[in-house]
Amino acid sequence: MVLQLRRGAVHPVGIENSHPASFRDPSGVVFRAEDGTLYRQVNRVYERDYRRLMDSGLYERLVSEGMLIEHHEVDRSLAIDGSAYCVIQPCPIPMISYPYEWCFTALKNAALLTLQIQKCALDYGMSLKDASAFNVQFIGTTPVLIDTLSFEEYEDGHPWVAYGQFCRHFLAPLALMSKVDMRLNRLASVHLDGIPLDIASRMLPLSSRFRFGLSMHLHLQARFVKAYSDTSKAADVDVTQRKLAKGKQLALLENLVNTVQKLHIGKRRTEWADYYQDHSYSHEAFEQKRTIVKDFIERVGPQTVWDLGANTGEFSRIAAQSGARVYAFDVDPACVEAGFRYCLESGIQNLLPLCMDLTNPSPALGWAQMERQSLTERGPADLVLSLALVHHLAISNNVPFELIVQYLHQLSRNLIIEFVPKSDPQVKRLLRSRKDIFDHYSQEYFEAAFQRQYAILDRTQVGEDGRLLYLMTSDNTCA
Amino acid sequence: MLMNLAYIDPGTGAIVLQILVAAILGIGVVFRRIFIAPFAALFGRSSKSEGTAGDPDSPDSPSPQA
Repeated sequence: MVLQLRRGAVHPVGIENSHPASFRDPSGVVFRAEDGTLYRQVNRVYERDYRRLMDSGLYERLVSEGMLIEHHEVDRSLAIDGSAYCVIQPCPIPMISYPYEWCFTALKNAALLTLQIQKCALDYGMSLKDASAFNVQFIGTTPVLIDTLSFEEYEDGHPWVAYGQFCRHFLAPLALMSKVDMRLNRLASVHLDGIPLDIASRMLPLSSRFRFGLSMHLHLQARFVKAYSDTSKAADVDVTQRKLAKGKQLALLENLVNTVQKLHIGKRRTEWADYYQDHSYSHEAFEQKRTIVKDFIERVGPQTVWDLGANTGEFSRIAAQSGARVYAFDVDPACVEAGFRYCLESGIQNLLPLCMDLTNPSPALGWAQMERQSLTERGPADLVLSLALVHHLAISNNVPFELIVQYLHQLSRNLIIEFVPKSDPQVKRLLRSRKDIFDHYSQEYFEAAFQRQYAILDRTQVGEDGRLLYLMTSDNTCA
Repeated sequence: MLMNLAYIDPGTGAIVLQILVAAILGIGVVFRRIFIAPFAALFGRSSKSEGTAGDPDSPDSPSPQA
């Protein structure tokens, strides 16, 4: 990556310009310069560990194997205060996603990455001081550690300080998704420092107690954490005197790897996972829809696409083929899981399926609601795909067209949207069990509502049931 | 009573526990070497599959799990 720093465009900035999630670690601070570039200041207190990371060959090894984010050292004068040792510029992550949005396999691969990095670090005399799932990000479906400053010198015989955090951030949610319900990934949005092990232990079925890894790392640890949370008891223990030989730590890590690898999700289906097999499109109409969507995408030529209500990502993949970076959102973790696995198996590098309930999208979370961004804050995308979605929002959730338009307009200025009329079998199904109070659910009202924000560039009918595909924009320069 | 005191000291329990688990894993390896490996060898199983430490050379990179 060639650094193109515009001198003069970047000024030293105060703590108020530092990234709101960057206050915890005194090793350094992430900040955004005025030109929008993300930098990371490495503080002098971390100099020794940083040099060891860079000089021991660990950094090179991890970066060459794609496990750690690459960075470049830049001019130290960019530092935001006097405590800087150096300033680095990490390769940018296209869009941040959070563990509560990941499907099972995504979280599992992030967990395995973290363990692999810890094993690798021990070889080079270093150790991870953090094992937070938030330190892992996805580029496509590939997990990468983004926290360059989470390595510290390994002191011989010291236990792994991040062991408890690893269990809360990875093992507990994985076990819950595997043994209880896939939808429990969302529990991580309530417990940002990982699922408390006592909660996980009580939720897990009895059978999990007969699995060595889960019984030790979750159930027994939950008891230990509770027992030692009594300060008088914890005061009797000098943790700095507790030793764990390196070989034993490696065996512990290997056991964690095995425990994680043995967790699976079965073929339990949720409501949408088999949508493409039994929905109302005929084969010909489906092919026609694909062709039209492909044509619309090419006309917009987007760099980033958000596919809302993506199901397993059939149309996200068409967008991905155009070379755009695509995020496929769906409420059903089974669909997201299927889409994620499809990408892994077919080697698609520019598509990330994520779990998202569009009627309640990820909010801003954490300290002062500044640490984790809401979905809207992570936009806008160049193009939003909203196929076979509007009837779910308008009828199942009673959201008026006007409000749907308002929200979609926040997410993107370009829109490929499908209107599904009341005569459609899918809509009839939605209306079967409820009173039809949706007098305004018609093509006429739909178009009127959307034309308040967008210009309709194209409208094409798909199939025999009166479904319509629209290409809309509010960007005068587009298409 | 379900009062959660973990916010006072979440760290000590995890440290003490991991040392205990590592010790149990160590005992497991010894047990397998003494009691299981000889029989495994007798029935023609490779001694490579013994123990919990696995094969250090095997690529354990993240991969899709069916």
